[in-house]
Amino acid sequence: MRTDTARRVALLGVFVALGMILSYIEAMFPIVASMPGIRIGLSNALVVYLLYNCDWKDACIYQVTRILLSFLLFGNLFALTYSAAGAVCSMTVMLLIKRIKRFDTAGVSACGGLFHNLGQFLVAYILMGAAVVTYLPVLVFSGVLSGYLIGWLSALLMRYNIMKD
Amino acid sequence: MKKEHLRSLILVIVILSISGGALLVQHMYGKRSSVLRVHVEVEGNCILDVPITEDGTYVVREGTLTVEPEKSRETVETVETSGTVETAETSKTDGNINVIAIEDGSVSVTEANCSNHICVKTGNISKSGETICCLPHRLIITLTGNGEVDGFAY
Repeated sequence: MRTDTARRVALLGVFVALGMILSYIEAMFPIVASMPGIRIGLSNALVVYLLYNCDWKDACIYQVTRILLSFLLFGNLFALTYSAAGAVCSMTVMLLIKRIKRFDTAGVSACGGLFHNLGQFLVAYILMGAAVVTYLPVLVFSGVLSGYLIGWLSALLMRYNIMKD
Repeated sequence: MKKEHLRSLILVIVILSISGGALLVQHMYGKRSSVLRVHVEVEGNCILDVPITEDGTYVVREGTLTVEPEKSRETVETVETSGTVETAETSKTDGNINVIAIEDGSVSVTEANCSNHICVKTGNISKSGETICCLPHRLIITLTGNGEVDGFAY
């Protein structure tokens, strides 16, 4: 299947579109939208899905495209920095943890969520200084919790493998 | 397979309880750090910077601060009943006076002998960034909050 480039490009395009719509939908939940730095991360379910059902390159392509497109659409440079830092951290950690094969999908996803938020925290720390440290427990808590739940969601999605057939 | 589920669950619970504990501690003890501060300047010099939670009455006389003990608040109140205009005139000889009261999370200038009394008429301020100005006496009261995190990421 991997040789079929056109099919791969088309499917990844669909994934990116789906991911952006999911980000939009979750931004409409008022409770979530009111807390800075806290997201459900529905679009991250697709990253985990791609990571398991395809390979890490697909997942990286998905992340890069989605973040760049969000930047082009909303034009928020700060958001770009934050999400890029979060994505780099979470992708690296998820790849490593997946490789050691000690944790299930939800565990890998929880670590991804944790390090996504830690990456964003790092950027916030550099940009805004030590005042953001008080926000760290919230970020760790929400990152792990949402990552774990999203991991379960993507494990459910993985029963339907559209990339292989 | 089962083992991996269990490991993940334990990992998540451990991290959640650690950060949850930190949140709890922060919630109980961290309040003090997120409280507003009352910042008073006269002619550019900071003469007072206290948390808004500390009730008290302060008298600023000619740019210097004198903390009024509890009993003087009664005299302030009795003076108030006799009329502000009158006290302003009678105390003119004492120099520039503003009386700042911090009470129940809000700040006001209860008495002043300045020419326009705009500081007194401003009333209570209680939110971050709000100010009371007394231009004749070059006095500025500002409520400063410390860095709330703003900004969000997609």
